[in-house]
Amino acid sequence: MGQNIIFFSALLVSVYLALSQNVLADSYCQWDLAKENNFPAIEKPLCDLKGDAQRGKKIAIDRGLGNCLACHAMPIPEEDFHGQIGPALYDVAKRYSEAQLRARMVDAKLVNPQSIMPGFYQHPDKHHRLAFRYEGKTFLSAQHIEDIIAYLLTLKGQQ
Amino acid sequence: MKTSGLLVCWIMLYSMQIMAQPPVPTSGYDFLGKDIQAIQDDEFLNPGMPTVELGSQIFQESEEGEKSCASCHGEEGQMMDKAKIASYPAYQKKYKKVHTLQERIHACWTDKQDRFPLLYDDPKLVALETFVRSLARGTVIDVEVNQHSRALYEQGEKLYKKRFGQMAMTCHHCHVQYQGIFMRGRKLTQGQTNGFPVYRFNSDRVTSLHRRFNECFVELRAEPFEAGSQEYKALEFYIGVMSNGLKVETPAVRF
Ligand code: HEC
Ligand code: HEC
Repeated sequence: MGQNIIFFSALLVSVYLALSQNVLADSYCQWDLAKENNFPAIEKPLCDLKGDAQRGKKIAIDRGLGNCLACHAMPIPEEDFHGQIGPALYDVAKRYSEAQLRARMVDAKLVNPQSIMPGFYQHPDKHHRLAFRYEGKTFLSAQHIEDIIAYLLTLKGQQ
Repeated sequence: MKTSGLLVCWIMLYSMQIMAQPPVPTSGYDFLGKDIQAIQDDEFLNPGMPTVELGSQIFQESEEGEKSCASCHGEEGQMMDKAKIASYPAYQKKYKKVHTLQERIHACWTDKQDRFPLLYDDPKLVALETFVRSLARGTVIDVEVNQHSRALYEQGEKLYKKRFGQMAMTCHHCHVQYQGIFMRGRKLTQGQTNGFPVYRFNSDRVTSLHRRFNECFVELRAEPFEAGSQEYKALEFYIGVMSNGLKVETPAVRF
């Protein structure tokens, strides 16, 4: 009887593990790194999703999501306390193409290996001592990334 | 003529020396507003003082047959050497290892007083540590690296410069590279250890150093190490050396 229970729970655990690994493998969208004028670039939208600039702006503000304002000043005067760690982003769309912004958002270390900007769509296996609750998860979802890119593309310095 | 030549030489040498030095250690105190600094400085207003008081009670306590800490170190701890208190973590010849101040206190607790061992960061130990370190308030920190402790120092440096968690940032990024810079309303300090254990307004309690490390790990979305772990001791030792030259502020007051 006792042995049966142990066997059964071992079976459950292994089925769970197999399933959860599948979920991860399925949900992480692969991307191809290319070069655009010698600059790292990802041409195709992640998972072929379409971004929404309004949502992107909210994600950039949200402390639990992008929290871009922690490090960057952005044309969002209604929010206090813009960070000073990274460059201001008022005119990024003038300086970078969509594909270049995508590479920067997926993993800033593709652009600058020393960068301290988090890899927002870095593969979860590449993190060191990731907290258990974030295991198998990316910082932002592919949809979040595409939304932010759509927002960044509106920043042309006119404000 | 000769003297002015010497003077020029001296100025050159002096400025070279300044350039060769690492950034001047600055206490978290210097990043606080004047009003908060005044609270830390005032013995009666400082909200860390009740913990010092609690520590001093435990220091004097003894159950029958036991020795109290005070029986060896003086009723108010006055027989302890302030310079020594300010030199922890320090290599202990007798134990052939580096002790943090809390471990040193615990060594007395178990060996000299024959009491039941406590877990690292047990509230009693944190209170004792707060009391003992507060005796050295104002004493200059002098943590020494020697041939016995060099390996621990190097382990600490590695951890300090390792990217952790989903944020994939290092301690060095926030507390050295970007010190003094605003991260969404919070000014980053050098993350020095000279005020620990510190009273924190955010949590309304006295926080041990290893608990503070935990919070930075959580911020990084990384799995923290355990209080008292080899890793945290290495970090404490490494940052302790960075804090050399600062004065002990325990109990400091922080957000
Ligand atoms: C922890 C700090 C940090 C956070 C959070 C952060 N960044 Fe950055 N970012 C940087 C730094 C630093 C740079 C400068 C280049 C480098 O070091 O990679 C940078 C550069 C950039 C650039 C290139 C700008 C230029 O002028 O070259 C873009 C675009 C950008 N970040 C967008 C974002 C967005 C969007 C978010 C939020 C989803 C974000 N960043 C979050 C630190 C950060
Ligand atoms: C993402 C930014 C960030 C990273 C990375 C980070 N910290 Fe911190 N740390 C903070 C902030 C913010 C505070 C509170 C304000 C301050 O003192 O800088 C703080 C405070 C501290 C303090 C307290 C300083 C005082 O005077 O009270 C210590 C000690 C500390 N950090 C150590 C570390 C260690 C060790 C690491 C690496 C494991 C680390 N930090 C990584 C942001 C960070």
